[in-house]
Amino acid sequence: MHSKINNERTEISAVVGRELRLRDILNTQDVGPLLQVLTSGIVQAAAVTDEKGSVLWAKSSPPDTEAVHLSILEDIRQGKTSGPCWKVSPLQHEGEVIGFILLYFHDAANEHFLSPLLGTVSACLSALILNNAKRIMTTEVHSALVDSSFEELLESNRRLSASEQRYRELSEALQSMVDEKTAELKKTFSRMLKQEKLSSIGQLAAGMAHEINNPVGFISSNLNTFAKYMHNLRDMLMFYRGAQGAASSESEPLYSKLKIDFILKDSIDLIQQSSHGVHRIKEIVSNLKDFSHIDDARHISVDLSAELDKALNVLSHKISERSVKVIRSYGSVPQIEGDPADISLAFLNILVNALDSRDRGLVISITTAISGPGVFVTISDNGCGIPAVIQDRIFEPFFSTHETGKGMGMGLTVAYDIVSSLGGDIEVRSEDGKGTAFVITFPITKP
Amino acid sequence: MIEYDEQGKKMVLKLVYYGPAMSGKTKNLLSLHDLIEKKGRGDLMMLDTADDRTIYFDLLPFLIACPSVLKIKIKVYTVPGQVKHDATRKAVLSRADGVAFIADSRLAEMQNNAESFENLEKNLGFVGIDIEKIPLVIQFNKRDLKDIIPEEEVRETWGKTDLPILMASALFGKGVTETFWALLERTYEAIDARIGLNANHGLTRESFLSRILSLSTSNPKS
Ligand SMILES: Nc1nc2c(ncn2[C@@H]2O[C@H](COP(=O)(O)OP(=O)(O)OP(=O)(O)O)[C@@H](O)[C@H]2O)c(=O)[nH]1
Ligand SMILES: [Mg+2]
Repeated sequence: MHSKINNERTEISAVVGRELRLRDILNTQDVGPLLQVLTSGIVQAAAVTDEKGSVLWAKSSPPDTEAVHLSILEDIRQGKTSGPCWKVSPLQHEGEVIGFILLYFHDAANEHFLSPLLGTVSACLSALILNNAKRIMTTEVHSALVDSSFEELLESNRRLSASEQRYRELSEALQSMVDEKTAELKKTFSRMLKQEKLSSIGQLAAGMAHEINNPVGFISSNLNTFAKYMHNLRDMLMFYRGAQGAASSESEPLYSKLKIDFILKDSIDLIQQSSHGVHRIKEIVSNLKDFSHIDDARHISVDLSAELDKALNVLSHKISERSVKVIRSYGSVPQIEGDPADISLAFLNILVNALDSRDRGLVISITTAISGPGVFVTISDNGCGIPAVIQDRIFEPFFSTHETGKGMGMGLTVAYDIVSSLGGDIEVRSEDGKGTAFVITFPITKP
Repeated sequence: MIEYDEQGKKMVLKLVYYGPAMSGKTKNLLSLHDLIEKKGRGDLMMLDTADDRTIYFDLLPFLIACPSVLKIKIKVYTVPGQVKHDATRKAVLSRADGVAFIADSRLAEMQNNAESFENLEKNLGFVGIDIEKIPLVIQFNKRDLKDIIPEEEVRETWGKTDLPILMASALFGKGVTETFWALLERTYEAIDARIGLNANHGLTRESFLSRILSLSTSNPKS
């Protein structure tokens, strides 16, 4: 379609000035009736020829005068304009002879009519020729105009739609560029936040580990020493009591009064309990250290169950505080490639979300399973659920149902970023009021 | 060239009077028609006009028979000057063999002249004619009026080009044949260079011009 227009453009279909021949200008409807009238009375034959003397239209009565015509036509070709019983008059267009009108008669008595008649007929035909030529030319220009304006219309339409297309593309590109940049910014920001969070947790943990480990270390070793001392003291005391002979009357009332028997026994217990406490502190610190993976290299094989446990450990006080029931059904799933700190952070964030879903009687069940191409970790709760209208927004940065100030709304975003950066996905299934399940998929790493 | 039929021994040339609206293109042809003898030219055909303004075009045809069998028909057209008839101007301009640009000498019309000339350049390009090659003459018409651009100024501006510049008053039949003569001279040169009017058809420049411009009064050059 376009190439056609282009062709016509270079050819320029609209040319004024095409040469017209008599047969282009006159037609049978114009000439026929005139010849009919002429031959029905005064003349026996009438014909219109082209500039070379070839007959275009002819009438005769009776209709058998062809032979005569032929000889006359030959005369016309020779340039003769009249002969016995016939006369021709030239027909002009644009100053050029483009044909002849021929009148023929049998009856010589009518000869004096011939010249005026021929004059009238040729004037009539000339007027017809002029009018028709004008009409043809105007029509030509008109159709040329229609053609060219149609072409122009098509062309400008094409240009218009092309530029519109360009604008649309541009604005679409712009939109997608803006979207891209926004997404990138959001990602960068959430990554930054995540790293910030991670590193602050990590730093905190490292600091705590350092700060706590020292005093805890000496408390623990002091307690051990102290326990030994206590044993020694007790042994010494018992020895003196026995050497004095069974129950010296002087010291025995004081011994009873000071409840030394109880003290000796309880001291050991106290030391033992303190040792336990210190041990527990050590454990917590080491959990924190584990969780923040301060020492780990990134992208190693990660045991998902271990990371889930670490996340639960970090949250253990909240879990026991609210007597949350945690059901773990870990299947035997392959390890996946990733950053263990990231992965446990993802779990942590989802678990935090679950913990906030209900005050009392909260049950969180955690399942890991292998299915098809991936490892599935499902963390489900029997909490308040997530309304359908906001389900697809919960992974958006800064989307939070908490009132402003309570949370950043970045938890699930960070979780989603972590999981999707590993080629995985998080799907949320939730029923308002009944609970929520986060299904986290990790692609199985090819060995 | 509209047509060149070596078998039919006929050549049809097209000359176009171009210019802004109301500059006197139609008037030029009317004057030519009156000034040139009936022999050798056809009638002036004016297609519909509205309030004196050309809508389609005007046509004044001329016929020359060469000493050879070649017959030359020259069709002289005017274009409609009004801006809105641009498509018609293109159609009239296409395959032109020569252009006479009719400018309106009045100072108030200089802008229109310039725009029309730009339009001519653009449309020549559109119909695939090289403005550097096509025979082109410039006429400053309406010299009979006041508030017109001085001739020296015109010559100063246009003198840099080697185009013939003619002063005219079509209303009084002045400079009309001179303009046509100048256009025909240039056109003859161009056609002669292409098909050898003199060498192949025995038509000299002088006989070409005099056959067309057999004036009712007298030849402007003599
Ligand atoms: N005074 C004066 N008037 C002129 C002259 N030539 C033309 N006119 C007048 O200017 C008006 C326009 O002349 P036209 O020949 O119809 O102009 P045109 O260039 O054909 O105009 P369009 O057909 O609209 O393009 C008419 O009223 C003419 O009489 C001239 O030399 N002097
Ligand atoms: Mg006009």
